[in-house]
Formats: sequence, C-alpha cells, structure tokens
Amino acid sequence: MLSDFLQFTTSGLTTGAIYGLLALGWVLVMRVSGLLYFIQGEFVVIGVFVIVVLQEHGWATWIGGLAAIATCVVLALAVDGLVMRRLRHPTPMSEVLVLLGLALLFGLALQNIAGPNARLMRGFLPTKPIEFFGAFVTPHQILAVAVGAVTTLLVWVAITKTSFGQAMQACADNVEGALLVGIKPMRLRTLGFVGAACIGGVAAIVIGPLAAVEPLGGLLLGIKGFIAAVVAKWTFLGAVAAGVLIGLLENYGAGYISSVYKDVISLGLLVVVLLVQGAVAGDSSMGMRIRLRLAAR
Amino acid sequence: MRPKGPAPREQAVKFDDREADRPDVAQPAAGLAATPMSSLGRIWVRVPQKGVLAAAVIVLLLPQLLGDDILPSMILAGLLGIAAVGLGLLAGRAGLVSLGQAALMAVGGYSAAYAAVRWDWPAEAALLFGTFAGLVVAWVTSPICRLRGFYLATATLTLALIVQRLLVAFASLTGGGNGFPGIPPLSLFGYEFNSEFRFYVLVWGVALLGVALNDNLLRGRFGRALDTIHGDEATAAAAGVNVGRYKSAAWLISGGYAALAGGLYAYYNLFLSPDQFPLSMSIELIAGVVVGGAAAALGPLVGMVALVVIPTRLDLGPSVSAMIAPALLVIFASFLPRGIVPHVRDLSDSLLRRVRG
Amino acid sequence: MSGDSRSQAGPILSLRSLSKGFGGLKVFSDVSFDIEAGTVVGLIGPNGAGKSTLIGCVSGFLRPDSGSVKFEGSTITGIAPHTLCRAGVTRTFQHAYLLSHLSVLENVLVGCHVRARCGQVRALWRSRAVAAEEAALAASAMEALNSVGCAHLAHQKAGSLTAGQQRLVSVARALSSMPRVLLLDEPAAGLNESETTRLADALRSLRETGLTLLVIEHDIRLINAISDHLVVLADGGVIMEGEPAAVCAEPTVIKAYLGGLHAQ
Repeated sequence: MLSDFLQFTTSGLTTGAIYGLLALGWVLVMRVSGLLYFIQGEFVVIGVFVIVVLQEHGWATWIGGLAAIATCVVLALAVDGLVMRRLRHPTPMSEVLVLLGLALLFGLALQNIAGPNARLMRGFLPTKPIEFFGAFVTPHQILAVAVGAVTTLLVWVAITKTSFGQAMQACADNVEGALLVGIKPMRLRTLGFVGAACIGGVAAIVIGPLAAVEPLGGLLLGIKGFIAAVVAKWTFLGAVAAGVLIGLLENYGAGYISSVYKDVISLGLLVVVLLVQGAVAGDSSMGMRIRLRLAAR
Repeated sequence: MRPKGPAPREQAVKFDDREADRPDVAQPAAGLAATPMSSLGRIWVRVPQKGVLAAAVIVLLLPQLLGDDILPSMILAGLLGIAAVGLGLLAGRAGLVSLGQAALMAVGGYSAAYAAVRWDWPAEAALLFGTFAGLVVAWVTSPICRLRGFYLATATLTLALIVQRLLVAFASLTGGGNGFPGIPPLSLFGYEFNSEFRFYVLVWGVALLGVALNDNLLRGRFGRALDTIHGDEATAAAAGVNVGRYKSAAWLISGGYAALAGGLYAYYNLFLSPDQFPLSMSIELIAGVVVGGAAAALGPLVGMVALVVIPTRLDLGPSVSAMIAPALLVIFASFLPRGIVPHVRDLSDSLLRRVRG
Repeated sequence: MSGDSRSQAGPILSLRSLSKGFGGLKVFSDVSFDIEAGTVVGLIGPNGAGKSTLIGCVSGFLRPDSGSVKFEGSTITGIAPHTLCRAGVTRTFQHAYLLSHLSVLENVLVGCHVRARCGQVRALWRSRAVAAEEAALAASAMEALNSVGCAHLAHQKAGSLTAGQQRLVSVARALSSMPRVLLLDEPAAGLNESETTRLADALRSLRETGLTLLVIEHDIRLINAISDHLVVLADGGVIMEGEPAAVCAEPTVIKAYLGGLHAQ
C-alpha cells in the first residue's frame, strides 16, 4: 500500500519535474513576448534525438548534452529571426498558428530524418535503483528532480536579481517606461527564446534516460507544460509547482484508476481551468502582449 | 494592431437577462427615398453564387481533364473541405479559431458508423444521426467558444486530444485502437454510390451546397454580427448583438458541418480508427482555411484542394506530404494572411482594370 | 428619428447611489443624478474621475457595486448591453472600432441589428422577405449617416476615413439602432476644429428629434455649446450639477480641473 503510493509519488515527482521545466520555458517566453511557445516541447524531443544520435556514434554523453542545448538555441534563434520577426500583420492568432505549425513541422521533420521510432538515451549515471520503504527510485529520477529544482532556482534568481530579469519585469509592467530607460523589447524577446531553448535542452538531458521519446511527442509534452503555466496564471514558481502537481496527478490517476485515462486527466484539467479563467474576463497576459506589441512597432 | 476597448464586465457570470422588448418597433422614416437594391449590390461579396456554379462545372470536368486517378485525393479534399467550410464560418468570419474540428468529424463519423453497423440503420438515418451527435457534442462544449483568442485555440486543441483518447478508451463502443470495421457501402434512397465518381459528385455537391448556404446566411445580419464580434466584442454588444448566442450558433453550425463530413468519411473508408483523426488533421483543416482564404466563401475548399491534392500529384510520399500542410500554414499565416482567394481576386480585378484601360 | 418625448412621469434615465470600485480602489461612490428626456447632459470631470466607468455601469458593461440605474422607470442595472440596446439605450466608445475592410454603410448597418425582425433561417435561401428587410435597413442606415453629415462616405472603405469621420460613422452606427438614450464616450477626442463643429451640429440636430444624450467630454466649448445640463464627476462623486454657465464659473469645479484642461 505505502510502497505503491511512494512509487507513484516518485514517478509523479520525476514526471512533474519535467513538466515543471517545460512550464518554466512557457512562462519565460510569455512574460517577455506574450507568445504561446508551442515549440517548447520540440526542444526536448529534438534535444533527446541529438544526444542519442551522438551517443550512437560514440560521443560522450556530456558532449551530446552540450550539442543538444546548442541545437535548441540555434533553432530558437532561427525561428525568431526568420519567422517571428518577419510576420506581416502579427495578430495573436497568427502567431499562435505559426508557432503551432512550426511545432508540428519540427516533429514531422524529425520523424523524416530519424524515423518514427521512439528513442531512449543511454544512461550516464549508475542504473542500480535505490530502495526505500518498498519503492524504487533510480539515480536518473533523482537527477531529474534535482535538475528541475536547481534550474527553477537559477531562473528565479535571474528574474528577480539580475538586470535582465528586472528589465523583463519592467517590460511587462510598463513598456513605455522601459523603452525610455533603454530596454529593447525585441532583444529581450530573443533572450527569452534562448533561455527557453536552454531549458528545453536541459530537460532533454534529464528525460532522455528515463523514458523513450517519440519524434512526434513534442506537441503533447509542450502542452503539458502549457497546462501547468495556465493553471498557475503565468507565474514562474507557480508554474513549476503546477507542473509537479500535474505529474503527480497523472501518475496517481494511472496507478490507482487506469493508465488509459492518464492524459485525459491533465487535458481535462486544462479545459476546466481555461473555462474558469476565461470566464473572468481580461487576462493580464493579453494586456502584456498588446502593450509589448505596441512598443515594438 | 487592435486597440483595447473599455474593461469588459468583471462578473461575466450569470445575471438577470431580462429581455426588455421595445414597445414601438422603429420603422424606417417615411418620406425618404429608399435606396434601390442595385446600389446595395456592392455591400455583399459578389462572387459566391456564380463562383459556386463555376466551381461545380470545374469539379465535374476535372476527372475528364486529369484522369480518374485524381478522384481519391479529390474525394478526400472534398470531405475535409466540408469540415473546412464550417470552420471557415467559425474561424474565418467569427474569428473563433478552433483546432478541434477533427474531433467533431470523429464524433460524426463514429456515431454514423455505430448507427449503421450496430443498429442496422439505413445510411440516410445514420448520417443524420452522425450529424446530430456532432451537434449535441458541439452544444455541450459550447462554453468553450466564449473563450478568447489563444485560450480558445488551446482549449479546442485539448478537446481534440481528449476525444482521440476517449475513442481509444471506450473500446467496447468504438473498437478502440483496433478500429471500427464493417461500415456498409453508401446507398441513399435506393441510389447506390458504388463508384468513386458517384461518391466524388456527392461529396463535392454537399461541399458546394454548403458554401452556397453559408454564403446566403452570412450575407445579411448574421454575417455582419459575426464580423463585428470578430472585430471587437464590446462594440458588437453595444450594437445590440448577443455575442454569446451568435458565437454558439457559429460553433454549432461549424460542428454540424464537421460531423456530416465525418459521417461521409466513414461511408467512404468503410473503416474508422482513432488515429485517422489526429491533431494534425485539425491543424490541416485550419491550414486549409487560412491558405485558401479565411473570409472568402470558396476559400476553405480551395485551400483543402491545395493541401491535399497537390502533394499527391507531386508524389512526395506520405511522410513528406504530411509536412506540406503545417509548412503552408506557417508561410501563409506569416506572409499571406488573407489567403489564396482574395489575392487571386485582387489580381484578376487589376488585370480586368488594365484590360479595360 | 427617435421616439417622441412623451411627457413621462419622471426622468428618462435616473442613477441612484451608484458606487463602483476595482480591486479595492474606489472609483466613485454614491453617484446620483437624473436625466430628463430630450435633453443633452454633459458629464465632465478630470481624467481618471471615472466617467467612462460610470457609462460602463449604465450601459451594462460593468456591474456597479451598489446602487441602481432606472430607464423609463424600470431598473436596468446589470442588464446585458445587447438587451439594453434593444430596449433603447445605446453607447459609443472612445475608439470607433469600425470594420476597416467593410464599407461605411455596412458598418452602420451593424447598428440596425436589433431592428431586424426576419428569422435568420429564411436567409438560407435568400427569401424575398429577407432581401426586402435588408433594403429597408440599408435605407435607415443611410438616414443615420445623413444625420451626422456622412452620407457621401457611404460606399467608401471604412479604413480610409479620417479619425473624425470614423467617429461620426460610429455615432451613426449607434443611431441606427433607434435609441431613446444615447451615451457618447468622448466623441470629440482627437477631432480637429471643423470635425468638432460638424459633430456639435449633428448632436444638436439629434436633440431636436427628441433623442436624449449623455455626453462625456473634455472639450469645454463643445460641451457648453450643446448641453442643457452639466454633471461634474470628481474626487469619487458628483461635486456639482446644473446649468453649463453656472457650473463652469463655480470655483470648486475650476479647482478640480486645475492642471487638467485649458481654462475658458
């Protein structure tokens, strides 16, 4: 009984750490640009595939990890420079469609390049599971949670303590004032994209040994992160907490009820939350985005 | 760039919606010359009815010109086109971008299939039942259409994912991952659709009829109401439009089209499975609307043909073909947001002007 | 144009003890005043006094924290805007929000929405009744355009108009719903001299037809020229109301405006 609960909790925390990382990326991009970063999930998947392919060719995992992060950053910059900045008549809807289309496109392209099969990364930590109270946890799972916590802390410090973070807060609160002080929203935006890409790469390193990842799985992963961000109303720490919560809920649901309904739980939660939040008109992120767009012209 | 309106109602929950009927119905003031109909002709989009006829002719002639092997992809384009026509009303005119249209197709398809196979209903009844089931699901999910912008897109996207998983979960009803086989070939009122060409004519007949009906509906105050809602909901409300009701109406109509398309799809394929309605199909549908021309009557059909038929003709193979739709969506949403039809129309207008001198 | 100014037993619009706050910040409280039918009432006050919020409460866009609004004797607090429009209370916004890709006439036709009587289903087969109604509505839309002096713009694309013209068209759109009370939120904002004069003329001629107007404005000259009665909203409440000349001379009013508008 207890061992079951502990087992579900460990899996839940691990999955939750991943979702939390994804949510972090979503909130970061939303805060600096008002965009729904559907390609957040793609970073994770592409990152995993990069590492796996490099591993297969004999490269060390840490090189693979760096390559994964680099690939994601390049991709994010390419999307920003080639597409997002060139949008004619950028309405919120067109940006959503563009990012969604790109997310699907990346997944399909990956499938074309690397084949449709899921890939599992070779572990880089000892694989012997540790037992406690009848439940098992592997070092990779502990790493996932640890990395999640550390990354969250780093991002939190960056947002609240550094000048970049303060610039970002300023931008979100008062664009005209921010411009006066010399902050460039577009540059901030790009930094945000790069940050999200790095987070995606890190998440790839951590998720790789834990679960096999499909080329088309990026969208769903990304959406889980989105769910967490929406539930937490686009706050950083809240989103991470929500991600962990979703991971726990999914695993409890899968364990105690049925694995078939695993996704339905979190997806259903999203719809309910959206309806409840949407009923209260005037969400701040819309306002943020509009103000940012006004300034960037 | 759309400026923000005044703060909307903070408590958008239930309130007394007492209808205060006007005691005197205002009539246009007497003594003023009524504007003749002909000068009003400029109000409405000129093309559709003639365009529909022209499209019908093209559709009938196409197999003659390009050979019968174009039929399967054109049928698929037509089936998706029916759903796209509904989406054109919802997303194109009203601005409610739904990424769950494929889910409603699945509902319509599976319901029709269930009625046909498990209850032995004739096709006419099964198709009606499928459409009805789609309308019921649309009605149940209609609170979603009250959401704005990207929240709506994400909620509908999530709906699509949920429906797909539910189809797998309720295996006893739907056959789950193994699919739902055994749908009988289509025969309506004694007429058997036993050839591709017959099915092709049926599908495109329905599609073009849908375009014509939609266009009629959208010409008058329904279309204006949707346009205003698309522009700014507060303005629409102040002008007397019951925003919620019109959004729900658009949502239901779009759902009906999708469900009908799904039902016909079931009768074409004779086999259904959940992975025939993936998220990418919803994205393909919205791509078709955007690429063809979101606000144009024939836009969605043109878009679906572009997205379905061209990759097949180019013989790119399934995995590369799947990338065409999202790629075109990205390109058009970024650089050509109005879509093909308005640009073509502008081009032909300027050519005509140049010819006339 | 609008209904006759029947001798009502009371004012056409009356506000009683309206209070509104957002998230702990009180915008105004205990606002009460009456508007007599067929008059033009100007609502003035410094920026941020809550004039637009007040209009929002009256027109159904906001729910007041307390108090009530009565229209022709019936309480209308909390009724949805579209229902109010049907009942005869219409408002305009500070921005015109015209559909720029449609013609001016089509934009004004939007306002006729509440007056259409034909069921929508008949539109599916283009029934003659629907076509006839559309023609009739178009005629009255032209008339509304006429009354604001914009009839010559009827077939131009709304996006090609100047700000002033767009504002006038939005007034025409509000008029085409045949309201009995029209709430105008800063109709002269951003208009130049000639446009403001044209607006003033239009508003004056509307008053001749018996329409009741509540106008928020900063332009003192315009407000004085057209109003029968002024209400001053400042410091969270009504500080003064009365004849325009008297109100503008009042020291408390001038003090409330110091640093705000140009003096007369």
